[in-house]
Amino acid sequence: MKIFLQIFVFALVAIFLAPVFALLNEGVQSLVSEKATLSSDLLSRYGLTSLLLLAGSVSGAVLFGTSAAYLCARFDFRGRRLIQWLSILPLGVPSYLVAYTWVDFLVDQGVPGGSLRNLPNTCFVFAVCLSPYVFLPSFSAFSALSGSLLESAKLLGKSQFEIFRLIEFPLARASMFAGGILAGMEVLADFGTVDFMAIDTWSKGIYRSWFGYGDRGRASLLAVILFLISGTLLFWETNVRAKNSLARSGRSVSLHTRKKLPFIKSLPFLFFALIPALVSCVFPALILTQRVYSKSDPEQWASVVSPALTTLGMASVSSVIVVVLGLAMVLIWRSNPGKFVRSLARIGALGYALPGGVLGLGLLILLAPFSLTGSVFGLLLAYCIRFATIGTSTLEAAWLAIPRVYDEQARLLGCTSWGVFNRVTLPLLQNSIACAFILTCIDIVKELPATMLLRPFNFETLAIRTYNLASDERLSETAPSSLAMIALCMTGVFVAEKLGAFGVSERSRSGK
Amino acid sequence: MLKRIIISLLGSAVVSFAAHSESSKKSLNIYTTRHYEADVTLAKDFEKKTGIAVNIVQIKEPAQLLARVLEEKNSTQADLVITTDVGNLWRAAEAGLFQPLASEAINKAVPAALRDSNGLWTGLAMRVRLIAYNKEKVKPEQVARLEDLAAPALKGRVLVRSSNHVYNQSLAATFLAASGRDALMTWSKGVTANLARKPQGGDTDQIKAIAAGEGDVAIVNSYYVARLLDSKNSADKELMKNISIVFPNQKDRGAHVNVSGGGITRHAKNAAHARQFLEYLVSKEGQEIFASASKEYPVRSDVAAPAVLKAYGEPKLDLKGLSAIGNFTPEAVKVLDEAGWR
Repeated sequence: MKIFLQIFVFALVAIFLAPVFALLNEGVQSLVSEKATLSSDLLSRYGLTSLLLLAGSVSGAVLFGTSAAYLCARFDFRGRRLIQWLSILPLGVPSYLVAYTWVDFLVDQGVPGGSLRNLPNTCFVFAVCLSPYVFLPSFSAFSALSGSLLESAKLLGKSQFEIFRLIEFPLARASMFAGGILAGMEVLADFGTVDFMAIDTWSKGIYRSWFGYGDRGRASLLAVILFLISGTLLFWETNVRAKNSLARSGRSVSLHTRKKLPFIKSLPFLFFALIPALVSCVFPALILTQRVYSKSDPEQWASVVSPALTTLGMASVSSVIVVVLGLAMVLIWRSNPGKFVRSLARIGALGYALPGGVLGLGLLILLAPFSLTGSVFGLLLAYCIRFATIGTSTLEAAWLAIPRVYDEQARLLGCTSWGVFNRVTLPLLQNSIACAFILTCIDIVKELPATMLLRPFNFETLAIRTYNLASDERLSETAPSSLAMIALCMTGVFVAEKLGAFGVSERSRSGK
Repeated sequence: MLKRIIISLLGSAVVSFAAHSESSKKSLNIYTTRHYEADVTLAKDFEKKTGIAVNIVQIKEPAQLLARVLEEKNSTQADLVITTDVGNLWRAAEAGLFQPLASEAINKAVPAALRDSNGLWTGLAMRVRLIAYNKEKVKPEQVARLEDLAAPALKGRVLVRSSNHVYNQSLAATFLAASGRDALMTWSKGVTANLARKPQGGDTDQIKAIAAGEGDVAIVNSYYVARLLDSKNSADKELMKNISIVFPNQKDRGAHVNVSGGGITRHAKNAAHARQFLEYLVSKEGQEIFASASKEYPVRSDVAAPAVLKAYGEPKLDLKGLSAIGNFTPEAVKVLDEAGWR
């Protein structure tokens, strides 16, 4: 049984990493070529820009995410639950859409375009769009702070600030950090937003080598380097999270009570906490709605129906597979498979560190000999490799929360191990399964570059439709497809939140 | 329990996918980089006339599209490859992607300069890269040649998109072919020094920037100008109120022109349909759709240019430059990089 498991996991990981090896192979061949290519001087400049962008975006996301999380976890005020919900909402809007909508809107208002496309603004766009990645873990961390610990500090005469500095911040630091790393990976993998905002990052090096110099090998090599960097970040994140959960698991937690904050006093904080949601969702949605409305062309929706169906179909089928894979992984985990399988499985999760366009090229090279490019299968594979982590990590977290006693009691009552899984674990995981499904769906709806490269005939998703209109310089016509995308993703976020996906809802707090 | 979950998840997936099955006997499979509404109109019209179902994969970036066909080798489903920019047609032909067109109708309709010399691909529509300027601040003779954009008088007034874009890469390639590396270097350094702002946005954004007073002169493609001039939207027309255009280099090599074109793949399973479609695209009817719907210049001499552009005269085009684009692009990009044109 154990050897069977090992083979299964090994095969899965091999499939997941195959595109990287295809790229590496391609890249090594380019080392000997003498063609005109990107100078290392420029490349280092792109690298530096990437670092600056990374630093700016991540600190912004941490600032927005943590302050909202701290506010909502430690204080009680009117509108708190609304803020909690709004802080997650940016998950549902791709950052390139936020950039398109704002820049187009502001230029139409007479703001010079040259003053909009710059590094600080790009950092800001990323900061608001990625703030949920920080908000979610830090909110759980702040919420889980032991009430007795905080009470003791207060009794010992510590001020609010000292409590924050000495207790709250250190205990939540790891979660904030882990969220920040995830946000950073998204920044590194992005091309659409930075391209539009005229920022030259490492991704530009990849695409300029390929498209400008016709140097696919060099492009692959740069992509592998990016993958290694993101991969390291992801590994780091997993480690930080693991250590953190270890530190907390031993302690029994008495929940703290939230401090009442008078409405007037809460206003400035409220406003600050609202910035991400306003900038990334509310205003863009209003601008786009106004555009659709002012055009009053009933036909404009007709062109969105088929892409919307394709998007939904593709997202749901792939997410089913991701969820099933996630369950399988967690099942393997639960069966004490040994260190080898564990580390293998962690390597498999690295698919998340591959930017979509690069993953697309790797898969293209791999799938072509089997005539599988341009097949739904190829796309499914791409989505699974890229997003499997989301399913696995969501389910893993939920599974860890189920006490082992349940399993043992079921076994004592005569259940087989399959019976335990089917009749005890699965029903308990129902909500988490739905959440993993929805979260994966949202990411697939937003995915663009891999879909573009690998898609079959007559196959258009909402993201592709939006991108094509935008690159044909018809930004105002992107409104219906953009709105449809936002609506889909936000509905997803809403339902997932209701199901307790983010551990933010009241029920999941009091249920513990 | 597991069953119930899987069934309900799969159920939702299947329902939304049901809309996506189709079957047809006579068909034609196209890979294209073009993302214009005109292409959809043309395909639909062809479908109606011939009963041949047209299936399309569109990949915006030519290098990616070529990578896909090249990797697919003889198992490719593409019968026809259509791409913007003659450099990509050249690269595709070099890579042995095409079979001879072998069509009298195409040879008759399209001038030899707009076809491959070995008969592997044909041009379908043209765009001219021209100079748009603020009528109140610039005299047309100040920007009669591309070279003029590097003149010190235009310091801080020139607008152009990033050199990431193939429009500028091809333009630089023809410049390189016509005047040599040093001239291109001097020119691109001059343009870079004259920039009103960091290269950014698309061509329409450059026009908007002239209208907003961020700069006075811009390099843009003809069809973007035509689209704004012809727009039903009053704000678009307002943009063009103070803007006029010149076709550059009329007294020497002619204005930089680029071609969208197509070729039949070597492993095409429906080569006859592909040929039929290309013949339709270069027919009078097809060319008229290119001119009216996407505002491109027709490749046929007996079909009129987009009406709004005709008002600015009949440009002399740098047809000789076309054949240089493929070969010279990597070197040209290198020069642009060195000159600091982002």
